[in-house]
Amino acid sequence: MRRTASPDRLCLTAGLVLMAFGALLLLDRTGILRLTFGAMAPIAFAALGAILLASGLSRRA
Amino acid sequence: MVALALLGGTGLIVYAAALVLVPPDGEVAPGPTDTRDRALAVGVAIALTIAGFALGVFGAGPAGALFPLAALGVAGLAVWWLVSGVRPAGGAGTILRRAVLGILLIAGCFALAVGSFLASGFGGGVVLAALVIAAGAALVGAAFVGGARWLILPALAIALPLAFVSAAGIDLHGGFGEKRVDPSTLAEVKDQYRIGAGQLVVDLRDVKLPAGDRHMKLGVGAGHVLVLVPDDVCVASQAKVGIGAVTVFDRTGGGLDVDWSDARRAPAKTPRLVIDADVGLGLLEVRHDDDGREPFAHGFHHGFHPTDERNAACTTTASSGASNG
Repeated sequence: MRRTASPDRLCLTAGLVLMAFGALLLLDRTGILRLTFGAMAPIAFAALGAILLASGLSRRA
Repeated sequence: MVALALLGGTGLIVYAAALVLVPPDGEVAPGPTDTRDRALAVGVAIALTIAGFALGVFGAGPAGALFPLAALGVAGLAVWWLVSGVRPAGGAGTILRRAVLGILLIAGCFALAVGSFLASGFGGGVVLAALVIAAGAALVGAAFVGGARWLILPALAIALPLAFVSAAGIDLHGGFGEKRVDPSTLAEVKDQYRIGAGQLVVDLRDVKLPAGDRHMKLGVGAGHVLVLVPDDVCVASQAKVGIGAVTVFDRTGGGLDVDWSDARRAPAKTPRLVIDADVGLGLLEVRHDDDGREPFAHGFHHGFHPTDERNAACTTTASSGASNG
């Protein structure tokens, strides 16, 4: 792989979203947080939405 | 297109295919024969659709498989588009190859999702969450060296089932299948029963419970727990349900994140069974009679309507109800 001038917007967004989502899941699984459907569903949809939005915007760019 | 959408959903597939395959105006300069080719293609598509309906191709039977196959093909192309960042274009062979690659990716992600569900249910959630974080970090790193979009879908295929299992609180320990417990003496009655996935029946009708409280913990990852009690036993219950319902005689509650509580008091010299249940995905039922009905035989909503039976051995209700948190 070669270093590019501008980062891949979709990869960057998806990566950051997945890191944040994974951290939340880790906190939940270790018992520090207790996420029910009421909290988890909006977070999951927001994560998916951010990735799809980045996908659309990167395609347009 | 709108008219076709009404014809058994065929138009929806065609619309999705057009969305994936046809570039928007201005993206590609029109060629001299484009208008003629487009008119020809539309004409052929309409003729094929009419012929398909006339021959019953889109109906039931083996030929009906064409419809989901077409949907799968379009989904494969859409996945290819998402992963590669390039709209599928080129000859029929190229598009077919990309659709197949997209379908293979979907199949792989489905296998990953099933694996993630099972591993999360068996307590591997911490490892999976760490994998999701690692995949995210890899994507961020790859974004500066050309990108690795193919990694997004597998990472989501791991993360979303894990999120579902976490939110529902599904614990698959305790075995799979059907388990029936028929104790005949008090000594045989255990303090807790659980099943990972399937159906668990705890039949206490042959047991003579003494006056006073008898506590019982019940757990089900995904499935159905049925507790059968004698008529002279008062039942107090509390339960946490991720997705599903609780039916205790004539009372019921259900939905997402259900906190069930039916605190009952029993008169002196009357036995009281105090149930504390943890249900990830499914149904907890308490009844006097086993009528043999399948809880989900008539669909998710029709399965767990309350029975005519009453918790008659109890005298008062301290508090009762279900809340969705």
